Amino acid sequence: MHVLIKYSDNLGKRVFDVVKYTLEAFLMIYLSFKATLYDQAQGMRTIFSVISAQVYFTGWQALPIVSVLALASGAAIILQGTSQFSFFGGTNMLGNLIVAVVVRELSPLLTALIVIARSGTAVASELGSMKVNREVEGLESMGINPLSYIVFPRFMGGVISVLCLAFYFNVVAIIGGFFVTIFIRDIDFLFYTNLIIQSLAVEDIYMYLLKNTFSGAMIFVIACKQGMSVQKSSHEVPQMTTLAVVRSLIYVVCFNLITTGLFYLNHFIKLGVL
Amino acid sequence: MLRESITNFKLANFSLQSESGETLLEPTNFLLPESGIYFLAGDMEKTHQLLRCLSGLSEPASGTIVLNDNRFDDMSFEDFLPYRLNLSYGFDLGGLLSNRSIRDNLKLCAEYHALFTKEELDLKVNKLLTDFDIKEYANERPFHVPGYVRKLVCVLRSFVHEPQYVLLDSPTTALDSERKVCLGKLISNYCKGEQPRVVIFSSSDEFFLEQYLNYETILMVDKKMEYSASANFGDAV
Repeated sequence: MHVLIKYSDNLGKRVFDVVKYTLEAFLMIYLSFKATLYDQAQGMRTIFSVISAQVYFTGWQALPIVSVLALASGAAIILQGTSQFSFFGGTNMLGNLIVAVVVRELSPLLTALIVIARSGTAVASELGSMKVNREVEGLESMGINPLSYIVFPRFMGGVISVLCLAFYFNVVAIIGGFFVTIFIRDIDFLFYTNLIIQSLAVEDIYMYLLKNTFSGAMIFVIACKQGMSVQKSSHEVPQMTTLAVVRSLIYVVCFNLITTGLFYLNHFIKLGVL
Repeated sequence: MLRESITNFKLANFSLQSESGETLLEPTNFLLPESGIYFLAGDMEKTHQLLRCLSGLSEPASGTIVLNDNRFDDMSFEDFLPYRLNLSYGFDLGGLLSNRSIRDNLKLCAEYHALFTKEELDLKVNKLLTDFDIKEYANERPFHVPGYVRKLVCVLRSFVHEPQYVLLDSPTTALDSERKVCLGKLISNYCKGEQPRVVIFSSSDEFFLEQYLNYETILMVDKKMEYSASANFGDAV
């Protein structure tokens, strides 16, 4: 009985810590927006220059790796789909498969993973180093709010980058994947594009916006939060960077799962199944 | 950005504690000076903590700082900003931005808050770089310059935007004797202008203290704080 109570207590504390961390992350987003809004000194020019730099590093420089992953995963899905569906004459379902797997699931997840690995680590370690070198303190002492100067541009640049990268992933996976597979399976391009267009729905756009905006927001706010958590010693920097990666990953995967679950729940309710 | 002139700068029931919980300064009321150069004499841990609190970077163990009858602990970052632009703090390892050049670091505060025109600012910064003979490092990043240059720029950065109060934490660390002379002249000339200005510094450099500055002393000994030969805020009320 005592063990059960202790277990429940620990579980409750962990759940509470997760909720508290999530609320703190949303609070950081709110405070960075508020600080930027109130910061009369930081002109739009400064903000846009830092945001565009972040978009360049996170978005533009990630295009090669996103292209490779998108091509490979798109081609694999198309190959598998055409192979399996051709056994029972279900080739018309190919469009549904590609939209369901690539557009709704693979694209947001793989894009987020790439951004976490490349930019999440970079932002967390950069901010951690800034804390160790007392650069953040130096900014505060000069009346420059770190939330508006450091956090907000990285957050906005990150969200924009993830949205653009996910869109790019979809295009490359669908179109590029097709051109890879025509060497193995002969599929008519017009037939293929018609299948895709018929399978896409308005809900897919909402899912794309929801999943990718949340992913971009959480990746960068967690990276900034963990980086700013470094206290004094440089040995904390890699620890906080690792925490940023792990936590971003968990949040992104869980949110994707919850969104997909809610989407299909809504779908089944509309169909009258539930 | 408009700066708020500080007409009244005092400590109200202010106390300090070390990280281990030991009392460094007992609750005290203290009125900070309105003009002149002041040496903060005492244990380096106490002076360091006090300067950090005065610059708004950390909180005291109890009590607060009062600026123009406004309590610091009642102010948000934006509320404190007009006062902060009249308070600068030069500290060791002073947080130069590693992705900006030495020149850009010197200009950062004044440029960000648009306190001077571009031409005025360039003139001020160039003069400082020339006077202290570090112009060759002006376009280098902080980690590509010698340690004494980084330390010097941390100190000089506090003067560029011409605040009313300049707080310096061990400003002569790693400086050679020539640059200590220059710094002494800079501090002396800074307080001679028409506008009332205060420089409060802590130092363990006896040579600098004896040779270069005409200053008064604020003593921080036996957990108390007082001018070396004058009344504190409590007596003034």
